[in-house]
Amino acid sequence: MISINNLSFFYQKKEPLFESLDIELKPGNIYGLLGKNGAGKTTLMKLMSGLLFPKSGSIDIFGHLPQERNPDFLSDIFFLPEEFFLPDLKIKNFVSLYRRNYPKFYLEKFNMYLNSFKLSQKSRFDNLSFGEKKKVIFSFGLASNCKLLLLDEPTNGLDIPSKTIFRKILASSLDEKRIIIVSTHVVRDLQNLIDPIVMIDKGKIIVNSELFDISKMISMEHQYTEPKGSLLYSEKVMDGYTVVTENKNKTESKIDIEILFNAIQSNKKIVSLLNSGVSHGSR
Amino acid sequence: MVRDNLYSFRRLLSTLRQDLSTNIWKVLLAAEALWGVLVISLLYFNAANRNFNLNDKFFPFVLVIIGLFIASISFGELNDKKRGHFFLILPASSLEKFLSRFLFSTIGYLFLISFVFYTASLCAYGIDFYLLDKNQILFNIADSSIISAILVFLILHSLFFFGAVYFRKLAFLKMILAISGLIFFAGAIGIIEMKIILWEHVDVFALKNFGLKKGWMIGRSSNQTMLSDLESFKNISLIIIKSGIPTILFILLSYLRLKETEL
Repeated sequence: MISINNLSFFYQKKEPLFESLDIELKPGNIYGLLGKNGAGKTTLMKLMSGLLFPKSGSIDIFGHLPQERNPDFLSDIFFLPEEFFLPDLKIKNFVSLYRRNYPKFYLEKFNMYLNSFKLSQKSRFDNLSFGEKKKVIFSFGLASNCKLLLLDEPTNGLDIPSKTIFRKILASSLDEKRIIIVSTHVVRDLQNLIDPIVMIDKGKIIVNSELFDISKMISMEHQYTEPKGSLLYSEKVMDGYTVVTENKNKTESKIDIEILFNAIQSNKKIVSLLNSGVSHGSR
Repeated sequence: MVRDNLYSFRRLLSTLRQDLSTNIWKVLLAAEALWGVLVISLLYFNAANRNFNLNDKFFPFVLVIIGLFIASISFGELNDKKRGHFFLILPASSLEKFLSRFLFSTIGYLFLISFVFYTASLCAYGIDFYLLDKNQILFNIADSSIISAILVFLILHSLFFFGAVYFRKLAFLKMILAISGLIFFAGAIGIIEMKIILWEHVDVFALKNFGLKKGWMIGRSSNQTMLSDLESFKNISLIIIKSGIPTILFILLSYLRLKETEL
């Protein structure tokens, strides 16, 4: 369980990024962390991994305080940043050197993931592309059997077949003890994978809900003609409009996360509507 | 299960192995370059019949300059976000990461540079003796000036090691500037104090009035004659006691600073 209470953080004192931020994240989920540029998604991940320290408030990750950076905690998390460093080594040397730091590392799993991405253990990192390096470090992170996996823009740099493999591997690696948090701008890459959705706006968590709960409050439908009447949001698509309306009939509809994000940005009434049905941190 | 989160020998070994594996080629290349320059210099100065002063001056100078530079770049990762993230969230304690870098930049460095100097002087000796029929100086680690230089290096190392954690960029230059500034400031304060307290009784700009002698730090008197063994031992013991406290303080500060580093 991740529990963040009353968290405040700023880079410059005059412009606080987070003020009294509260959130609870439960194991067994792949959370989609969404927000505009500069909303604080990466900063929140850095705070969770202990790279940054809260100015006030607390972060509890499976009973650990991240800012202490204890080896026990660090071996139970894996943070894959958008841009990362790998030492100039062969993959197999890297694994044999660094797996010792992760007591639960499962070598067979790592080899399996690497084979899925069609990568050879004999390759040197210097000879790999950015996307290939990302596949290796992603495989390493999953094979570490950590409880918390933080992925910042994980599909950046991956080709189309690799994105498919990535989704399959990520979905199969989820278990009831693990929390996966994915921050992404390319929501369509992970549309069917991320659930619940956590949205950050102006230093606050404005949405923390499962798609099922969201679909009970709002509905999305396609219309060929220009929408009229009471609607929360509409967006022009190729062959018509996607319309977001209040779900008064409580009939379930498929939620497009990208459209939901755009709708929330343009109409904050949706946030209060969603939060009237689901409380933050609840499932 | 409660595990030792502060220190584990297994994790320290693992960190040492990682640091060694990722830097070994750079270190060997630098050592090889130094070895080559040293052999050529030794042969050249011997051929030109010039006194190279390997044990007395050259080794102490190279030992301190290169050693302090290495100490300054011991935490180069913290200057780069990508490398810094990798380093900080690697599952080892701050103490283990700190100790690994400390051991490499002190014991590892001293061992390597002594090895380079010894083998280079041995090589130059062999060439001069067998090919040119000349005598060559051999590097002698037991020379008293070398032991004094190692001592001075270890004292200054703690300062530059602290600079490596404290300053993100150009730690070596910034540390030299900081030390110079500090010495200047302390000197200025001292002079002002002397002026205020003793006023016209003491000519404060004349250093002889302080009873300082040029070679006090390396155990020699100002006229360059060696002190007796007892005096020399007493002098070195005093240096250890006087410098040991700030050295330990700076080592401790470096560790605490590393523990609190954010990226």
